Amino acid sequence: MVEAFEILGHAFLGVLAGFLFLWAFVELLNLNENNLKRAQWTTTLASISGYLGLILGLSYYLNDYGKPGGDKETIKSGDWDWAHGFFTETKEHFAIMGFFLMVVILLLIWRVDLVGNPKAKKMTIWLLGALVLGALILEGYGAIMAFGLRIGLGGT
Amino acid sequence: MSKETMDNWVLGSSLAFIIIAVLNPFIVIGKEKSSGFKDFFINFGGIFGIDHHLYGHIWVFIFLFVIFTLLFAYTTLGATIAEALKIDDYEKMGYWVIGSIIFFFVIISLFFLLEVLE
Repeated sequence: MVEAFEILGHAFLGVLAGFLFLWAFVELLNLNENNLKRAQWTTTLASISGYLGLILGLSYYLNDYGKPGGDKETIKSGDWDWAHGFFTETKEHFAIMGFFLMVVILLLIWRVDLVGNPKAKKMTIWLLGALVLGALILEGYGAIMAFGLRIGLGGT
Repeated sequence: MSKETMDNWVLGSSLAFIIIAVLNPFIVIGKEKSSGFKDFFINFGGIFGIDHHLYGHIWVFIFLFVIFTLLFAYTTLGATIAEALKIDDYEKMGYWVIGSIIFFFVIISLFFLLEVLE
């Protein structure tokens, strides 16, 4: 039950973070004094969602995934063993960078005058775009891991 | 980029992020190839309650990120590094951050792809 909560919560919060970063990205494209606060709070909520999602994913990875008889062994025993060898391994290290990129984006969006500084706004747009793309990549990799598990369990 | 034209904390955290993103692939490869290196991260994670290399890896990076951010934000080192890298505005800093992410992602992906193909 705890494992299901961790993995479903991880996927849900990851998607939510991706959508909220996309929302903030669009707000930034048309930034003015009126929507600045909305962009700031959307980015903050996205980051909170992202952090919670990453913590749940890490908890699942440390407590369930790699344990003897856990999902890692099941994936590796199936035909899609590369789902662990490439996608899990890459995802686990890629996700770490999300921890730190979200700190940079929070500092940027709250401390810099983005309305009066077009170059700072451009940097923020680039980083928000990277976070949206990163969330999509991590979700896709998670889906491939889930398929790898299904194949390992004897499904098709 | 001087500290006067860029927020201290953004300058510090961005440079800390770039350093970590460039360092990370080498740490990952080192962990995969050397058991001693991996043991260091397992033991480091143990200090915080979980004996796992990824957990230790995250804690090491949190410490590095905080130390580098403070160092670059509160001293002139950050501005000096930014100047050496020809980063003179936020836009260029953004490109460097994106570049470091791409570097990290490509190296990590190639490494694990080769591991799977072996």
